[in-house]
Amino acid sequence: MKRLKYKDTKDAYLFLAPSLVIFITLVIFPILFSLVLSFTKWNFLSGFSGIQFVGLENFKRMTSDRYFKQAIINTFIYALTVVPLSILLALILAYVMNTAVFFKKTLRLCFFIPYISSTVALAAVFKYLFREINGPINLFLANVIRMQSLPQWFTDDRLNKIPIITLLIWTSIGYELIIYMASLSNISHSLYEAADIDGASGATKFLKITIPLISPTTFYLVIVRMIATFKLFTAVSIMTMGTSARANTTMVVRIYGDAFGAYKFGYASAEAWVLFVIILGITLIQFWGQRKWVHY
Amino acid sequence: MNYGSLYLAYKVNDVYGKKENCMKRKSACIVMLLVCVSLLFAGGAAESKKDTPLKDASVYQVAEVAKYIDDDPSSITGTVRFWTAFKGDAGMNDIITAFNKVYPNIKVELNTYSNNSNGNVGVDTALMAGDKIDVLHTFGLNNTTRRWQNDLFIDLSKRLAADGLDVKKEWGSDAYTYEGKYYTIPMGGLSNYVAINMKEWNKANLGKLPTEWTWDEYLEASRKMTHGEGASKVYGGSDYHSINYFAYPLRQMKGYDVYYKEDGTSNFDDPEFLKALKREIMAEQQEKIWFPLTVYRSDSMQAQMTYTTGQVASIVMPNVLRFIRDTKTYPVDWITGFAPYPVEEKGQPNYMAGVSIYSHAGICKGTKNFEAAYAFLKFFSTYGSINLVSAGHMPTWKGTNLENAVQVIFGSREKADKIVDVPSMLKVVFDYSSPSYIENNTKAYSEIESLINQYVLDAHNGKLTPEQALEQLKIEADEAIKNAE
Repeated sequence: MKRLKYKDTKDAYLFLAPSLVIFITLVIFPILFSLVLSFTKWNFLSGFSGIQFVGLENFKRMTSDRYFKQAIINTFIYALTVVPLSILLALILAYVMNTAVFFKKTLRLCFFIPYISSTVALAAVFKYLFREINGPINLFLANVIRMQSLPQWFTDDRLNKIPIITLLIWTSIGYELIIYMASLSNISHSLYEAADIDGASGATKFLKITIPLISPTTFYLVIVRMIATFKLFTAVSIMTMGTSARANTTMVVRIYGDAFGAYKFGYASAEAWVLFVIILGITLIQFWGQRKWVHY
Repeated sequence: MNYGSLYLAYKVNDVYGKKENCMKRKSACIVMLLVCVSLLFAGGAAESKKDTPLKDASVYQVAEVAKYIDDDPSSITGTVRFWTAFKGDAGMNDIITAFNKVYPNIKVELNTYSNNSNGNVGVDTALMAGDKIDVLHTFGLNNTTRRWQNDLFIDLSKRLAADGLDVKKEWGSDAYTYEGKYYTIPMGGLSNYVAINMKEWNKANLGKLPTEWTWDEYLEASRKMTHGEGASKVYGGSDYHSINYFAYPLRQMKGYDVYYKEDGTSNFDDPEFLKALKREIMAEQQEKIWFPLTVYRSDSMQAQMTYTTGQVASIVMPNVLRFIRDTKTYPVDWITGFAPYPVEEKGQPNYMAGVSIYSHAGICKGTKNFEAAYAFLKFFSTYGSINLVSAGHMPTWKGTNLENAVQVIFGSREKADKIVDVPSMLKVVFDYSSPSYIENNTKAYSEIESLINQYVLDAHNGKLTPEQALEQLKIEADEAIKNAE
């Protein structure tokens, strides 16, 4: 029996070996290496022999790095605006489209297409839309609204997050919409019928029946979208290329800049681990909080 | 008249007549090949009566051949992987063709990379891989010193000395060394000037092109050339789209290491920086006679776009020739004139008027064929460097025969006359007699440039006053320099 179990286990590992080798090489090793690097000073051009151990110096330096602190604040702003707004919009659209709506499938496709499109292409399009001179939005504001002083979308610190937030909401609605539509379709109609008999209004049914029953889906979307927003890179990198980066840069953009722009791989690794801890912390808080509002 | 070819022909006769041994006959053949090469650069066309030699040609003495070309070029074989930021049609194919006429058995593979942060990461990664690049044309002192410091180039000092090549005599400066050694040759330069739309200039009745002018005079000309409103507005002037060009007036005055003081701290409390920044902001944001830097950055525009579309009547640029020679991609219906980079006060030395060293070429560690790579490097840095003008850059080699430059860039003097004002181009763009800016100090250079990009743009946006921006820049630049130590 033991021999058979050993043979089964050995066979299992043999079949898993190729995937495990790739996983260890491309995932586990880089993660562990970056943890080691976070305690070193290294510019990668000097090769492995150029790695200098510096202890906690990278983490200490981060406490006085204004750029990184601003990047953390910016990332939180993106997360706290994009996630709730996109989820709320997706829920409203899903709720409406779950009733009798013409061209439901076509509409669903239209909302989903941005999600599956290339973020680089979409970011380039949005960068064009928000151009200060001859951008369609500013042309509309100048010629139709007759605005005198046109907004400087990418160079004005008060405005330069708006194009990015708009893009992020537009691209994420599709995925959330699909998930919500599936979730809404699983709610038993008998609950709504019973509510109708009791004289519940539409709003009451929505708040007391729909929201609680889709709360697991909402929880899943909040977790997933929050993590995705904290890893935001492409949209910001493309749309802010060449402009004042500090006001709208994110943590991942900052990490990339420190690693591949300034060749500070040790410091960038330390920043990456701080990002990991932040995301982990927020996720754990959400898991703790779900006991209060998620109904299974 | 191609004086260079005649001189080389004379040398052939001289060499062949006086010495009879086999090696010298080979030298004569090599010289004849070079005659063919120079004819190739000249287009092989009949001389144009409009061709005029440079007034001050003494700098461009045709040098001795033996130092630059091997005795038996056909005996050197191999493949050279050559990486540069210029495409084949920007002169690189011409260099390779000319090289192969002298070295027929060396194959050169051209790889073009983007000279931006992503492109340079790609180059550094290839360098780290060890066997992808033989000869690298590297741009900017920041990128070049990083590669020196990390032992990515081969030390050329001994080989250059053995060939009798004095870097300062050949390429104008011995400042670009690392730990006293030459890892690269400073063979490429940039000339900064004001490119002027002559149609707009003449419409504003501004008279002759200046041979020296101040910033106040350039601003006045910009005012007169500015006209129109909205989408049809033409700005009279513009600075280059790079944010760090705000520091170039100080480069003009100081001549070296403009970001640093003698004590090693940053120089951003120099009142001239404030003056330059305020002038730029005034011209762009208040008087609106210069194209705004904020729009260049926010809309990812570049100088050649605004100039060749007629949005600006004049512009400070280092490389307009690369674009206006390409009449298909950048068609314009005016002639471009050239004026020197403005000075703060008349009579000041103008360190921006000359050709400042900007690019270097070296042989990378891991090259499998050093001899072939070295042969190409020498050719590229000497006879071949004339073709940099097609890319809007300038050769720094003292032996360059610039009489060919017009033909190299435009094909013929007739074609050139339809695109540029040739006399002002030769006088201003190819001004090797004026002093030039050099950089010796690169401490925390990339951090300082990032800080400049941040704070200068904040000043342009109105987020900070120019005084606040420079004050903060000074503090953070000093911190970056201290951390780099």
